[in-house]
Amino acid sequence: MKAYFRQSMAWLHTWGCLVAGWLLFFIFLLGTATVFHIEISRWMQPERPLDAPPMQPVDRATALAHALDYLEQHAAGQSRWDIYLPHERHRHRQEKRALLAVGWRGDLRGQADLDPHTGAEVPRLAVRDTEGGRAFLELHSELHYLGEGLGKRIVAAAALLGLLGLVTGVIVHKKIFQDFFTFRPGKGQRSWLDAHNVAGVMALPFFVMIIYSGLVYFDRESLPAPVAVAYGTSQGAVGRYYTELLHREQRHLPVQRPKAPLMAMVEQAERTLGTGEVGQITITHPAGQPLQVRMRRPYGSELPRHETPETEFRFDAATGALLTTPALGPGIRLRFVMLTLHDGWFARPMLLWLYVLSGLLGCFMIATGMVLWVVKRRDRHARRGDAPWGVELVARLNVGMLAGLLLGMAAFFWANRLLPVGLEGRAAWEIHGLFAVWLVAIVYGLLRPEKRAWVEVLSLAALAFGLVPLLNALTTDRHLGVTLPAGDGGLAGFDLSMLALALLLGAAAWRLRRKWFGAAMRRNTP
Amino acid sequence: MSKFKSPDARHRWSVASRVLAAALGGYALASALAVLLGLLLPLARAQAVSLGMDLGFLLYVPILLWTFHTRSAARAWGWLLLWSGAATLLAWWLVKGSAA
Repeated sequence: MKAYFRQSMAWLHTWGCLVAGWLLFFIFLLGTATVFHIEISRWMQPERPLDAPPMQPVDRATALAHALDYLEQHAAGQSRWDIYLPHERHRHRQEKRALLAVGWRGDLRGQADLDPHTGAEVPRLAVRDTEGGRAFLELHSELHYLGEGLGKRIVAAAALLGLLGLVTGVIVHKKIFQDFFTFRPGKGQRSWLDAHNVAGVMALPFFVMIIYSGLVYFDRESLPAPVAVAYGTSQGAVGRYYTELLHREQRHLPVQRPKAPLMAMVEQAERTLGTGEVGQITITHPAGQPLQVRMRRPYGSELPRHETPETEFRFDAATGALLTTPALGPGIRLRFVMLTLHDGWFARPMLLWLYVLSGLLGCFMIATGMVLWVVKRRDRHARRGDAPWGVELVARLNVGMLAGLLLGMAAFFWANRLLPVGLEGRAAWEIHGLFAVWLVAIVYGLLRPEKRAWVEVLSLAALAFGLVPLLNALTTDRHLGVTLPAGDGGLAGFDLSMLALALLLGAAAWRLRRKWFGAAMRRNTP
Repeated sequence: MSKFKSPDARHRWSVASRVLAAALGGYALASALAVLLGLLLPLARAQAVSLGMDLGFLLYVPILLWTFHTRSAARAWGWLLLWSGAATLLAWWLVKGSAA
């Protein structure tokens, strides 16, 4: 019975993962890129300035007064005002971290950057039309060309198969291991298995976390029944659910300038949060409550993604008295912790790189799994003397689906630099570029001899990534010669990552070439 | 007819049937259990619903394991339909009771 259980789990692992493998590779690879989507967006808009120099001290009381003046003038009658004080840790504001920013929501929605010393509005830059790093976020979570709803559900189904793959993988791991040493010590197959297992085990907790939190991300979309039963299916039902879940008031009154001084509230909040920690201030007026001011650290500074009594201070705007922030319920707490872990926004650079590394290990685990599927079946059928077309098809599709996607990503960056800035629908064309090159690579993999195709597509991808910094230097003045001396870690990091990726893929291509064609090469040289 | 009765073909049909049972019956059961959790967890409504959905994913995994492990596709279909039916009825009764 126990052996039979392992067997059925191995079957499930093999076929469940085969079905979802290429899609999971796409989701993992693009998801890995999204770790640095903010930096990617900056790189893709080279019109933006270099990273701001170290913060100069700002008189925050003056800055706050400027912000309120601006909001009173431009956002009167809106239901929410946001103020972002200059702060080094506003990662999402990037090179604008040294500026004061205001935003508003209600009938209108808008935002503006202000000089924190004078309150003068900083004019918006004309930048090229691009989705930037957000493109990876979207493709990774809802695919493309399918509509958002269907895309999200397909991604969720793949994620569920991925989770199933992890569980069944752990169950069969030991038995497979024994099988190998006992029955089939074919070296090629065993090394693929070892690679697959090492990658899978090394970052197993990360994989479980990232896939489960990914499912939680769009829980209502992929499992709609609970909300439908509890709230009905009428138009406002989903909105009612989220309002209740987040303890939010449904109705908000227009906000106005607080009577009590904001700086005193900042100082009071910072007695707990630490001096200079307040980064974001929000003014709202929920129906039935006083006009209130909320103070938080810069967005992404702490683990929970949304307001909790530990991370947010609320004040009565009229008196400056401290109000209590209601504790969140367990459902939303689980959700927020999962979303925060998934996004990794709380992470500082070292941890972000660990996310990237784990993500790449995930890609490697999936890719080796797909190759292993082929190698194993080929071995088995070679002994019987047949070669089923299904195995050959997967073998050939692997080239384009895996290596070809990398080439497509490189094409996306190339398109960003090469498409004319004034092109109609430019942002969409960058993404079409990714898919077009990917498709060509898939077809190429189907037509060429398999081993040649692997070496060629990998080499081409290495070349395409390796030339990105050069292309960048030829088309912009945001290249390594400028970004490195200026100490702009984000932009320089992008170009250097391209080179690192090129080296990695180049090394893979070179090794395969030597292994498969090495003998032929030696024979040809006299 | 003999084509459908060969052991190979029968195996294929049984696998296809199990895949359908996992996708449809398994999803129905996970979904019904998530609904039940949303109704039964002793929390505020929205919190229970949210937890129900997020735990629902975790329930779906063992359901899938069982579907592919149990002896026959017919058994998988039978139990999945029985349990989803029971969970749905219970949910319906709970909703009706709270509405009355």
